[in-house]
Amino acid sequence: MSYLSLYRKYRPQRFEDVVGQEPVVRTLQNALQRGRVAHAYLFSGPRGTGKTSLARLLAKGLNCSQGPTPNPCNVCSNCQRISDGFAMDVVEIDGASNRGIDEIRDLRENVRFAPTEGGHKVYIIDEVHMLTTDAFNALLKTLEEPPERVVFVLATTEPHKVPETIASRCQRFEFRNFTTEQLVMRLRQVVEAEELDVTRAALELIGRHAAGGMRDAIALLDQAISFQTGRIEEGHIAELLGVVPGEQLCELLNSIAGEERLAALTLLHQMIGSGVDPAQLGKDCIGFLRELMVAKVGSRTYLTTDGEDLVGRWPALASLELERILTLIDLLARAVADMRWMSPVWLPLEMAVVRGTGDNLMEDTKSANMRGDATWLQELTQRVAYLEAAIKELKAIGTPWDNRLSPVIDETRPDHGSSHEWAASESGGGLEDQVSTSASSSREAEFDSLLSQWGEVSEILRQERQAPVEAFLREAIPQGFDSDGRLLLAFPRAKEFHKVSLEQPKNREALERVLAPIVGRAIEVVCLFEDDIPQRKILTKVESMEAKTGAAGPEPEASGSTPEEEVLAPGLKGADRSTEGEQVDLGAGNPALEAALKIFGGTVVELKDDTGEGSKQQ
Amino acid sequence: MRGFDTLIGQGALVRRLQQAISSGRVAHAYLISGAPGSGKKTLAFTFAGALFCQNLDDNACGTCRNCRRIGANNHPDVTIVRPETGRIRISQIRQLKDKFALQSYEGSWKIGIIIDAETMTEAAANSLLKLLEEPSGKAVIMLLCTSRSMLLPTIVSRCQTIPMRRLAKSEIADFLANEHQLPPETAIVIAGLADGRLGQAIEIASQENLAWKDEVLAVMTRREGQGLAALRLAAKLDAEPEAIEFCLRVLSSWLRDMLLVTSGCSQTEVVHQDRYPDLLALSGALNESVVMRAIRQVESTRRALEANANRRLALDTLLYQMADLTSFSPASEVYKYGKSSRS
Repeated sequence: MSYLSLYRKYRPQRFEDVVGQEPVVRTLQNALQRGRVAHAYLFSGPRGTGKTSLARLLAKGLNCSQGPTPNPCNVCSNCQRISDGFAMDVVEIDGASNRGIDEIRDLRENVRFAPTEGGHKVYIIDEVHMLTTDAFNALLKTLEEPPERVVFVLATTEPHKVPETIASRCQRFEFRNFTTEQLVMRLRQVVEAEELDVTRAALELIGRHAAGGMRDAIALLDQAISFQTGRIEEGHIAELLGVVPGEQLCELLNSIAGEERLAALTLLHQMIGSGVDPAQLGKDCIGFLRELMVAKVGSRTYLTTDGEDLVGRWPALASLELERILTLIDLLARAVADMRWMSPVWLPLEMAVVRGTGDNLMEDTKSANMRGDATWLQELTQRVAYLEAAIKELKAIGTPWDNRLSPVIDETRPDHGSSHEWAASESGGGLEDQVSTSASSSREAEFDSLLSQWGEVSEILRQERQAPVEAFLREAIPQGFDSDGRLLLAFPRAKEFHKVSLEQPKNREALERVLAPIVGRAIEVVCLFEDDIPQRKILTKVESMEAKTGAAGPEPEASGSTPEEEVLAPGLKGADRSTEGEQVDLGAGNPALEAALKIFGGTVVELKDDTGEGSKQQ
Repeated sequence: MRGFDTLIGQGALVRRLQQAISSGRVAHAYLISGAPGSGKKTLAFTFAGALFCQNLDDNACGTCRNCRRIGANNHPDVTIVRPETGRIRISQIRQLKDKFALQSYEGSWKIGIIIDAETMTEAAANSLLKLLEEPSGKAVIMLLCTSRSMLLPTIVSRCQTIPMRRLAKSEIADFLANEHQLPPETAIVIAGLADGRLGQAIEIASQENLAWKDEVLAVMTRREGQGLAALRLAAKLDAEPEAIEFCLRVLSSWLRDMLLVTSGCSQTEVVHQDRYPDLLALSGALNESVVMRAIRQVESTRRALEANANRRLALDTLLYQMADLTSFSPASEVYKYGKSSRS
């Protein structure tokens, strides 16, 4: 017989040897004591938690020459043969290899024969989740009412793959992962029995790395023994696992926390040189930060090795805020995921370090939005500040908002009545000019930036599957913002279809939705006909826009308006929006109203039939 | 087969295995993990040879009958399982188990070597479990895989894991300079591109690849007419698609160097050490976020090419953008990222 792995050698041979899993052990022992052993058990739980071991112990308890007993003697021939795996009555089946219906039929044939040596026949079906559906179903009747003195133990790591009809016929036991303390306790027993010299820190590292699996833990210890003669220390285990020793890990994270980018990168490169596995390093960093996070939240202190507080020695690490820890974990998790396909395998970690040590290097808007990134916030704050200043200015001037909406009558110009609103607001005098100048520079800047991104608007519309909207938009020429911040779009008279289509709420809203993030605020769109705008109002911007987007539109002849005048274009609103335009037409048919308009000027807002008068606003 | 000495830079692993042999603590299952070209097969076969070798106790001599038979895949007690049509199937594992259920032919070890173990089907992997836990007699099963995370945890926990170490740049460079007569300054660049894998380094250390590298970097360092040069390179690459992978690797390593240099790293830490002055000059005009975005761009192009994108178009776009990073516009990228996060 060759060398026996420690995890096979130290399989528990008595119930007392089993660490953890108390509920299972106690239930089984009591069942044995009272003679109430069920005919079928289902053991489920993660790898290395003792399923197969306890199944064998149960078999031993049943077949020990001392009769069914909770404390099998381990000396009688029955116990011995079970330990060695030669017992006739304990049949261990590999469910993953013998998974077909034929194997289960064989089993059913053999179940009928009485036990030969011990009191019970025990069938242990390991990895039972791999049986085929047919095989499971063939087993059902036998499992429900097996012959006397037959016990089935089904063991699996994936209980959800076992049909309910099988599970409901068994007593079910859940095996839990071991805690690190439990693992260390058992490891120490092994170490003592093997007369080895292993430090506590080394055992703890093994325990942490085994992640709850006893077999993992003992196999690691085994590996360490074959690796190292004499005393085994934490460093040896770390080397074996290819992990960075805690000290170096702290140093790296400390320099990231302290935003010392160069130092962090240099440390990282030293680790590359020493042959550390990048994925493992990434995971270790995440694991450490997780512990730090849990400690920050304050439940208990994880950060001790050999009772020594790490935090005191690494000030930057200690003062890391919760928010930043989370950000770093995010960055590192992404780096670990990227490693699978990124070509210099260290690159993701390096990028994580660079990004983790910079203030505002969040790469994409997604993370920026999620984390309330600095630049994003800064931008918003600036915008709000700007808006506040603008409002303040407006208030200082003391212009009632409503007045600006209404036409301003200029008595010095007798012909005002025949023209539309913009004539009035254009001549609005000093007051209007002041307001418009103050607002205009911001509007103009906004409009400029919108024009520079106009091509993207089309692209986004296409991506959003709003191709029709994009098509209608192609005929439109952005004219600027009016004083309410609405975007004015001019259409040639010949393209009425496009204008009307774009005005439909569905299309207009789609466009507004796309524009909002670009402009940085909710925005309304107003569509006009080109010739409704006085020639001199059409913006020179049109040319510049055409140069940028290459969109062909009818060239407006007039140009030369100043930026201030653009903002006066708001006068357009109302009158030229189709709905209100109708009202004007309505009024136009009414002679009394026409006369009134001639005398008072103004616009028709509402027409009341009973009086025959339009109430108008001044 | 020439024994463990052929494995450069894996001293610790080799010592561990040799110690296991000499102390009689050979485990029944080993999981050897490492990137392609990192020497997994060499290690596995040498280990098998060392167990059987008639001349040496803890190494393979390469000349005795057993060593030669193993080297020629001809030893009755060494079974090799490798994927057939891309997967390792349950029938193959069953065959292996049948073999392991019998005594060895020559009364010594029984060895199973499963190559590309991550390609095992779920059924195959599960059916291996019991054998892997408790094989009978003097048996060793070695599983070779790229990453242990690609295997079932139940398999991993039954094995002793042997992660192949990534070599330091200097180790690979020394090897290339000594064994392949490369000039040291070229060797160190190739070593940097090989990602710590000796096999990779040997594979990419060819004259054609060196020429490709120079061509890519010529475009990247050009001060004027970059756009046209980039498109010419794209056209050339389109005609020779097998070089694309390597060129993209050169490109991302170049961008990585740029990132390091902007962060203040020294000459020895970058891959393209021979062009450090260029790196310094170019990176002055850039900030980290542009470089990182460019790196992501290279990676997404790589994936697009794997997914059968229009090769010429993808290369044109990528190289054109990369040739002049100062005008690499982040705006449209931001929108793209924003969109993908929503969808």
